[in-house]
Amino acid sequence: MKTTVLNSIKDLEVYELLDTGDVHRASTLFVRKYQKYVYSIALRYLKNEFDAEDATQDTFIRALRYIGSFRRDSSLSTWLYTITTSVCSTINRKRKIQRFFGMETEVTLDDLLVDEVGADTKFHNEDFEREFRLILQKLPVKQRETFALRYFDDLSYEEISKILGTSVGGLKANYFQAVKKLAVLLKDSELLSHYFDKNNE
Amino acid sequence: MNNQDIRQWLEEQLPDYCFHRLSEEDEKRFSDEVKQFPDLQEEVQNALKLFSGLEELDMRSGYDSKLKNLSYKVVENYSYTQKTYFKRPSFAAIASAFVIGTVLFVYYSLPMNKTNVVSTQANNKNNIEASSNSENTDLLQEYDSQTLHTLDEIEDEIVESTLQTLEPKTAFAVTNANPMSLPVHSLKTLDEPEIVDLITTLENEDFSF
Repeated sequence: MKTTVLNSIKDLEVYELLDTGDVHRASTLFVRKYQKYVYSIALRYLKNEFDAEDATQDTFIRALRYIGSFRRDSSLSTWLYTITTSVCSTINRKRKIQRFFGMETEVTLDDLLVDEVGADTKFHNEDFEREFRLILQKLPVKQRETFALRYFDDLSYEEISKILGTSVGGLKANYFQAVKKLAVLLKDSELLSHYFDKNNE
Repeated sequence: MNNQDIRQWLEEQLPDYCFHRLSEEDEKRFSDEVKQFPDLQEEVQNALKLFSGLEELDMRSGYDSKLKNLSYKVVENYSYTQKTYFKRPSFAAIASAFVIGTVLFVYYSLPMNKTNVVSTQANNKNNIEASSNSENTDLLQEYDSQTLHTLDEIEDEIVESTLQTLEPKTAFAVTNANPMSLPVHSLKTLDEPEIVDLITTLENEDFSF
């Protein structure tokens, strides 16, 4: 099992620092611990790296504003997920309005990927990650979120159940279906199959 | 545990098995049980092959460059918003409205003020009753005066009807003359016996021209 940053720093450490009044250190630790987690959620919802960066910042600012009133009976990851999705839907709404009035053109992951792969044929982890993210977007939301939260963020089924409002049994079924579908999609992906062939050699 | 239950358990554990997230005990049990289901075994082999590349990669290594200094930016922005939040005009307006609201609430919820409110309400009730009584008296007086006025009218009607029983020419003379200058109007000042006498006299008179 992979050890993620999420596991190495405990929520308790953040709470202890907050309780001792060391807000600056607590905030820094809190952001460092959850930044990848929040950013990846934002990226899945917004499908745009620039917006995801903005959403990550907004999420943490909002979270720090209300962390004092946060009831510690649930984990910070569950609470942060709710804030992130709320911030993302606000940004999405804003972008839709801007697009409607022609103030902005949509830049998606596909555009970025085509540009970069076209310019440089070298295949990096980042490219793989982008391609994988595109494939992940093809899954139904619940399956996608279950897979991402379990595989990437290493959350327990109980935590995911709280976040998505689905029973643990239902989540396990979703996870299985997600893996099955991803296996098919990965096989069909030209870019990724090329990577796997190279990797297997 | 029947076959169906075992299969369901295997399906639930399959992703965690492929990504090596099962406990040693569960992993061993999975490897043993999956042999009963060749289709599931094939699926596991495919998934292991496909996701092995994914497992080797740190998919989020690219995030590091994007999230560089994020904690610094967030903490700075947070401190800035905290400082400016209390300087916003909207904050001042909301704060003053809240203070005024609280003062009013406290003022009206004090027991002393509650008594005042009750006594004020009682006074109001008395005033309303008094005014309704005076209104009733006025109405009665008005009704009485209306009754009196009606009696006058009845008297007039009697006189008028008496006059109409007189001969047509006299009636013609009466209706076409100026009503203010007619001697008929002096009839109002007469008593009932005098009117009866007058009528008798008039009946005995010969008015033929």
